[in-house]
Amino acid sequence: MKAGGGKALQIALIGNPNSGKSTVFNQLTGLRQKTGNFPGVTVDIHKGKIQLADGAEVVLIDFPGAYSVYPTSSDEKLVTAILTDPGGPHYPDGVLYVADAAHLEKHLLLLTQLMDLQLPVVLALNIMDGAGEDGTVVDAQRLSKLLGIPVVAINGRTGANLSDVLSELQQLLRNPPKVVRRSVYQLNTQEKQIAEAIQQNLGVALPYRALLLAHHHEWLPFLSDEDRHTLAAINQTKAFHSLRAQVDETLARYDHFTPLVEQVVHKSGNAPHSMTDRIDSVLTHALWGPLVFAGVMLLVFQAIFDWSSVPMDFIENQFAALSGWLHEHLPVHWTTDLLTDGILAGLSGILVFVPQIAILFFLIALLEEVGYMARVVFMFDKSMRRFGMNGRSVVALISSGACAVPAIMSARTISNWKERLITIMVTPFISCSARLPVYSVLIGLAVPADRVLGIFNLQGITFAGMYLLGVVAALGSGWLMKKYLHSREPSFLALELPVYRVPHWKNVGLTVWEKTKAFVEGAGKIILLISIVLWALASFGPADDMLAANARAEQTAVAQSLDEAAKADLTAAYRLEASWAGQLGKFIEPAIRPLGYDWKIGIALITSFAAREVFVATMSTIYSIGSTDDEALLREKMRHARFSGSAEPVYTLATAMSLLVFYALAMQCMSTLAVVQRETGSWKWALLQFLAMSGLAYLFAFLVYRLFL
Amino acid sequence: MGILPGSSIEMIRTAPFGMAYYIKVNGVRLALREEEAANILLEV
Repeated sequence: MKAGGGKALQIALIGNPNSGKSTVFNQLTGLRQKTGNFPGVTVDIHKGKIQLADGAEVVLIDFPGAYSVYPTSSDEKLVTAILTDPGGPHYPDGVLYVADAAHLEKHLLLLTQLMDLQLPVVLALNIMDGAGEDGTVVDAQRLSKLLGIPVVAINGRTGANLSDVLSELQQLLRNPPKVVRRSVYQLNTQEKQIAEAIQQNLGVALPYRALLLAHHHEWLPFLSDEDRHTLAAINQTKAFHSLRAQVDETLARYDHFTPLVEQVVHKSGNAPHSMTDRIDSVLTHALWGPLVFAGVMLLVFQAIFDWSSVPMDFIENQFAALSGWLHEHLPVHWTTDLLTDGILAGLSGILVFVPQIAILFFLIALLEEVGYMARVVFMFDKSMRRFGMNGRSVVALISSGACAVPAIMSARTISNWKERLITIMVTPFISCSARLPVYSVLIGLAVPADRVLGIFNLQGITFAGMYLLGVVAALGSGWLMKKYLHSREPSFLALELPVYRVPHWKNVGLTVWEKTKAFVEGAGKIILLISIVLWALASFGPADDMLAANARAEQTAVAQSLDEAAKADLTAAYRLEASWAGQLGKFIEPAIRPLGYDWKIGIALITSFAAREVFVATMSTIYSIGSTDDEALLREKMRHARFSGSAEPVYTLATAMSLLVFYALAMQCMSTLAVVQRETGSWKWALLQFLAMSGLAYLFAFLVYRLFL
Repeated sequence: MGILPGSSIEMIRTAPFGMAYYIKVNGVRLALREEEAANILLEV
């Protein structure tokens, strides 16, 4: 036990996946919870303060779901790593173990392992609606006697008896059991020898913990190289076969508690959950299953594409109105521009994602809660595995047709790190809604509205081709990453398909709240920063050039007797050309000339890093029609554009096609970059993604340009 | 996950696109890949 010393005591909430653990956590903590990452790994950690009966506050930590201390996923590894390291910052002072009463036996494996680690533990026997249905009755008192630990029968969904759990926890923390519990599992002779050697060499007190170090010496993060070496040597001398020992131990544990379970569990019915079987005969059916899924995804897509546009437009309009008002009432000064075009534009760019994120996670949490998501993984496991991904990746890829930001965040539930990383890396290839305005302008400009075979509109085919290109790029790069990205973590599908149940609305609400908050707080800062940098690049330039730009606009305006509005548009165009962004555009012109672009497109490439749709606005500004919102006029202007110093038109079919391909493939979205950084926990992957996508875009844009030239 | 010697296993169906199985072990529904299912020794 850690001394009080001002530090709140920590209770670990542990249990198998689908034990109802998270519902218990949400019941106990509500909104008093915080989400973060465990250091070094991007596995969510949920912490919440709870108050015990005597008023003392303790911290409840929701551990990822685990089946045993012999891990097969990164989630389980984390649990084992924390529980075998008594000196670590997350090592709990007590454990609240949640088990599903309907399948008690399976849940006792990890519990008895925790008991053998001598962790003070309270067992919460979760009687979910399923358990009642098939008539399972569990004698909690008798189980408590047999196991020698406090057992409370609860209902996680209604919150019944949770107060009893709290008082048991209080008992446990105030009067920790002094006598060392007799181990459930008795180490065999070989294991004893190994444990003793480790206890002596590494100063480990507990035989069972020593044994776990022997099993996991290769990857446990808290071990020093020296320790690792010692452990490997001990294993070798004793000819320790880890896998065989795991199997023997697991079987021995079952032999111990199977008779106990028979004594305390009484089942009367014998038609368990037939409702779930009936639903599954449709939802996982070879034909109906994928069809129903397509329908569900259509709904999800409709929701984030269409329904969210109402609040998104509202947010953008409010910010535009506020920005306009500030422009009217504040002095004409660069600080005003910083406020409106830098900071407010950045804030608007953050908040505008909130409806999409909230709606997508509402639907995903709903599907997860109901139990449908596990079926999706089951159905699409094979198809996605070919491309290095997971059945859940289907949902991320489809959602990114609306926006990659919430889609990437949804990959959080993929527990295999490699599959999750590949999903995150390839998701932005899918054509999102921000690419639509760019496609629309360019296709309208370059592709004739002719019909092919009498029915297909050529522009429509090009549109469809752009979407197909995104899908091919995503799956293709997934396949490549699968080949070249090595991971020691085995790819695994041994997934429980839980009983269908009515969603617990509190869980759904908390997921939406947590995801939205995480985006605004985590990625928001980066988006705001980049937004300000981009504003500065487009607003400032070498002083002489900027003054010259003003003067040139003035002269032209007088010479052509332009009105005030036209003069303002012209000034904006000349100033953008003279700004740092303009200088950069001209600077990169030699590099993008092979793709068929001039420096004006160069500027647009830079500014549309804020978001792809900014391309259209930048083009409008640079062609001196910034104050209008007329796509046809912009196309007209672009059609007449010539490369500087020549009569060669810029927007030939080749340039337009090349630009289309570039926008389809390039990573031009600061928000996505910020989210990738947050979700992978490092800039490494975000930058790699940026470079790889931009490189690929450059290459293919070049090829397409040559092809159409 | 509770698949032990002596467990009774019921095969429910294969996945729509193949290579994965939907099984029931002691009343618990599980999805397994072909490779993992290959490790289960069956006795009819």
